[in-house]
Amino acid sequence: MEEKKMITLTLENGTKEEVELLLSFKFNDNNKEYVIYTKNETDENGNVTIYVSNITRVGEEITLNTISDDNEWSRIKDLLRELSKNE
Amino acid sequence: MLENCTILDEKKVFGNEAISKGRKPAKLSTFKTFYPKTVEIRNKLRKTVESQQPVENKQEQVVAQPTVNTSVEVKNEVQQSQQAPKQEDNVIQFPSKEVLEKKVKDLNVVFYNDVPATIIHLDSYRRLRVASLVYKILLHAKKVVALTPEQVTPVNNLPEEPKKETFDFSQVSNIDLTNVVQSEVNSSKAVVDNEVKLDEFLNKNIIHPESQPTTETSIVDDKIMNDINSLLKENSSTEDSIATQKEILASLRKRIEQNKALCEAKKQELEEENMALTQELNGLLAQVNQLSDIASQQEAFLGINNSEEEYKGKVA
Repeated sequence: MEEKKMITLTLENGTKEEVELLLSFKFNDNNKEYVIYTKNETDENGNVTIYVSNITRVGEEITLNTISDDNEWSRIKDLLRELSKNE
Repeated sequence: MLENCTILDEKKVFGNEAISKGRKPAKLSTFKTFYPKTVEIRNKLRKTVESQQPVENKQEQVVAQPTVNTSVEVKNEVQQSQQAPKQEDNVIQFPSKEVLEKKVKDLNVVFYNDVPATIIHLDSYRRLRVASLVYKILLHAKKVVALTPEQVTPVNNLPEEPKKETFDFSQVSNIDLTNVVQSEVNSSKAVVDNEVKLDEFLNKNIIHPESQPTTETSIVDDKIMNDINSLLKENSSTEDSIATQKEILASLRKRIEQNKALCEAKKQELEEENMALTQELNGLLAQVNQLSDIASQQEAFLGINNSEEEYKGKVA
């Protein structure tokens, strides 16, 4: 099994949280970057909770923001669906 | 007991009543037909349950085995681990690299396997609950088609180092500090201007993510990044020229110091020479005075009467 890639997030109140990085990606047409990570939370059915944020860069630092645009969100969900298809 | 007996009796009575109402008791032939079938079904069920139970028991044995014989345990673990992927492979068939690459291309997206940043602030997110399959496929995709940060950001995109100008200090003969200082001041102004420009630009075009995290303007596009880079480049080249000018200034100051030392030595030499000349002059003056004294004595001796006459004439 591949080693998990962990990243440390700094929350608004200054506390740090370590999460598992699943994937980061960029849409070529609009250059918007996103990151998918998880805290490995599972429900009773074995479903995993994943978190998706938009990346904003300022120099060496990046900030993870919410995806407010529903079209963007739909596109990301489509991406996940497409990846999950076994074709 | 009496009551129980009564109930049993009632049941019997009820049974008799049912029979008496027209229900016929089961025939022996019917019983003989259905009973073997029932037994057969029961045996089948038992076999099924028995065939499942040993697997569970076997797994439990492996877990519960004490660590006496490690080779056996390892073997069991290896068997287990070999079995596990087989089972998983049967369940999950990950898409191949080619398929994933095609999907990535079709979706017009680039995957990274890392977040190339030193500090990551978390402002907000969107949460999604997915099947564990999606989670595994994401990991698989990261492993197969994701690019490293170095692949994403080519090295030739890095800003070039500004060329340093070389100065021949030996040719700087005339020391004009005012010009150098003035040029330094001008360059400093240029740097400050560039920094102010950059700040204004950033304030105008980039909204701080914490203040308005979800607006489209918070995302820096390529054009803005290029502008920022060019401003930074300009700034760095100006800083570089300032550094060069500072070097010149330091060299000139050194030369001044050297000249000062030379002047001091020359001054001392001249003063010493002056002292010697003064002494010589004093000697000569002393001689002159001596000679003049002698001359005046001789004059006084020769011309004393004339002077008396003159005196008399004046009185008259």
